[in-house]
Amino acid sequence: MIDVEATTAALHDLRRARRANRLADVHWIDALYRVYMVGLVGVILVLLASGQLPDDKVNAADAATFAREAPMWLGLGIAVAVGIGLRSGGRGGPLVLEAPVVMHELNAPVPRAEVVRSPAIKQLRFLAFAGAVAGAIVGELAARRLPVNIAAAVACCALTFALAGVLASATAMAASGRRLRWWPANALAVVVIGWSVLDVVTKHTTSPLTMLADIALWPITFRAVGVVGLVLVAVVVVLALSRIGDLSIEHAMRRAGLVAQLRFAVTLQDVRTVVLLRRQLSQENPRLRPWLRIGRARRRSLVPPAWKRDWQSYLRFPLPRVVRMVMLGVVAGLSLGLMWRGTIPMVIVAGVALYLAAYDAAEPAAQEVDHPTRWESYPDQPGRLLLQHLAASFAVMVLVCLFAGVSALALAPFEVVWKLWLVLIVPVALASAVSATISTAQGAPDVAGLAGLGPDIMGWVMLARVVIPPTITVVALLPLLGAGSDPAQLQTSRVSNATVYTLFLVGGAILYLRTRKPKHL
Amino acid sequence: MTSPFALPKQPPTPATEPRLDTSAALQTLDLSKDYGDGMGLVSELDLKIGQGELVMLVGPNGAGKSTLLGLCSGMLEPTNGWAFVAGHPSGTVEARAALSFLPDSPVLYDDLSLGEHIEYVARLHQTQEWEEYADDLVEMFGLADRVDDLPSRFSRGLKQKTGLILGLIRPFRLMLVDEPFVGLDTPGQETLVEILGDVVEQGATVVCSTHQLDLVPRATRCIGLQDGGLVYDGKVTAEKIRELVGGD
Repeated sequence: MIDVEATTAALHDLRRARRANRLADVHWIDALYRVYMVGLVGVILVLLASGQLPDDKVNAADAATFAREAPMWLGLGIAVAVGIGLRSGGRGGPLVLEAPVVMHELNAPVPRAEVVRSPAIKQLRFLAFAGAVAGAIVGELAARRLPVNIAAAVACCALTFALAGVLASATAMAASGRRLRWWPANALAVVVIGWSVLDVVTKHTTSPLTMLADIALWPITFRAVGVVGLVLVAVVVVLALSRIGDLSIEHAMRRAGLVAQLRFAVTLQDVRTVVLLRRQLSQENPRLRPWLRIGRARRRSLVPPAWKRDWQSYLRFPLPRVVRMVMLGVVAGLSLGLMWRGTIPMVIVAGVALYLAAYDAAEPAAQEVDHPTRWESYPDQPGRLLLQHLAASFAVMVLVCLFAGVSALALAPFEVVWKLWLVLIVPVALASAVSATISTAQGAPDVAGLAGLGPDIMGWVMLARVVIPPTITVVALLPLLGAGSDPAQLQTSRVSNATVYTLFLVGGAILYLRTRKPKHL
Repeated sequence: MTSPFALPKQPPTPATEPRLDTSAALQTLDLSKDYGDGMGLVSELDLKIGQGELVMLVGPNGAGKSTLLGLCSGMLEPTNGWAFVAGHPSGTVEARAALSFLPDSPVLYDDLSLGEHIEYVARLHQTQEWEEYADDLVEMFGLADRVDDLPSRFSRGLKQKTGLILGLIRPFRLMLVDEPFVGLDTPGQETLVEILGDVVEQGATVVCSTHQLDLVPRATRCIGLQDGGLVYDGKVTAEKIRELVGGD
């Protein structure tokens, strides 16, 4: 007969012992220094962000309009977070247990809920804290412009963001505890986001997530409907914790292995490995049957083998990857639209979105980098092969930029969008394809070699490896700043003159790619 | 229409499933596993293994040996069918109490020493008077002077020995072992053969995925798999194992 109480007590005793072991290994000075650095960087970012805001307060009428419409947009943000949670839950997330915990604790005669509850609560607690911090910052920044009590704004925004974090994670746990499959989870995510989009479009509060977002605006207008959001979070948390022990062991073991590698890759700032592991984690595998099958080449085909091989790869892209690339194009377009309207920093968001889309477009080149033995076996210079792959990723990025141009129409007039699109399409598509290929081709950092340079230099080199590639894409978008804000007097010649410098930069990047060689680990 | 939930089905009982024998150490009924891509890893496998047997699970690479052991241990979820450990559906508390599973690569905590690992696993499984047995096992595998070291920093072979000690320290009626000889030195392999023989003599059942011919004299049965299906179930001979591994 199994004494569950005794095994549970043993589990708790030994977890305490492990915690004590871990605490004994902590270097407190290092830990405090890290907290200090994070705090310092956080304060600087908040100060920089608040410096971008005008200091004048909006009037009461504008504040009332803001309080009426902002919950719909904030609710949409929460819906996206919940949607991501549902997607994660449909694939066994969001909990990441250590592999030995799965192997030894979930396989011991202890109720599985006992094993999993503690990490689940820890994750909810962390997300509540992180959400509260983010919300407090937003509340503080908002209070500078809105006629509200600053303490109330900080408290309500912190509460809303904390609840949003908890809700997203608890939704994922509820889905994985009930073994919701990926397809209904994705369908539910679409419904949740669609409902919030409907609220934004109709300017009516119908989604419970809009109601939850309403809490953030309580200092301006109190509406009791926000309580529905509070109740929703409480119910979902109860649902999540009630069946948390029923999670799939198979998913838990798979995630444990992948996340351990992912953390290691993040520590090493090995972006390519992070991308690969993240794809495995979300089970984003190439399609077994391509969208279209390209037939065997004729004996004297003039199509370069790299070009054909690249399209064979794209035609096996799974639907989520295609959707992600399109969405990144849309985000880039909307960001550029906002930039044209005066929010200059949005150029960074647009550049990063295009860079991320290009990361997927550079997949065929990345396959060469991942398989150095095969790459170096071809009777050609390795760098030239990388450049051959660039042609297809450039073509794909032209398509992504097409989506960006269409979505920019939501915020900028047609005559502005099409003229600028024609001027910038080639340099931007090329720059994004080159920047992503550079990031991929540089491979994992040679930590041992860099360590010889000393910790300070090593830190800067590691930072440069991560920052320089997306910067190339952002720089390619900067000529847009010279376009002016008057559609009637669009400065297309200034923009096209500035793109010459971009092309120089891209040319330098291409020369760098030409020198790349296979790197064996 | 597939259900939106992937919850396990209600397991059969002897009343609903006449083939179910609750006295068997391990039984599989129509056990199947695939990943929805038409590639069956294990296909409708019916097996019954009694108490006190030492079974060698043999087959070429990709035959489904590790998948079968994963399904029986509850680490993998079947697409169809059932696995029962000592009469209980795999993965249930009762099955977990009766089963010791050693995967092909040992899974160890980063922050526990060998001694702490042993205590943790023994206590989680309510092992009575485990201390003396732990000392014996550690001695037999030549790890007596490494008890306070972190196994996460051990070599592959020492990690394998640690995994074996953890599999043996707890009470069990069925032991599933996946490629336990990989990475072990010759004395380690001899110790393992001896220990597996002792375990079976004491009434437990061992199912061991291995091609190690040293185990042949101790083994009572051989199960051959190929492409996820059963191709042989009978006596163990070195020739038969070579033939099954060759996949001919």
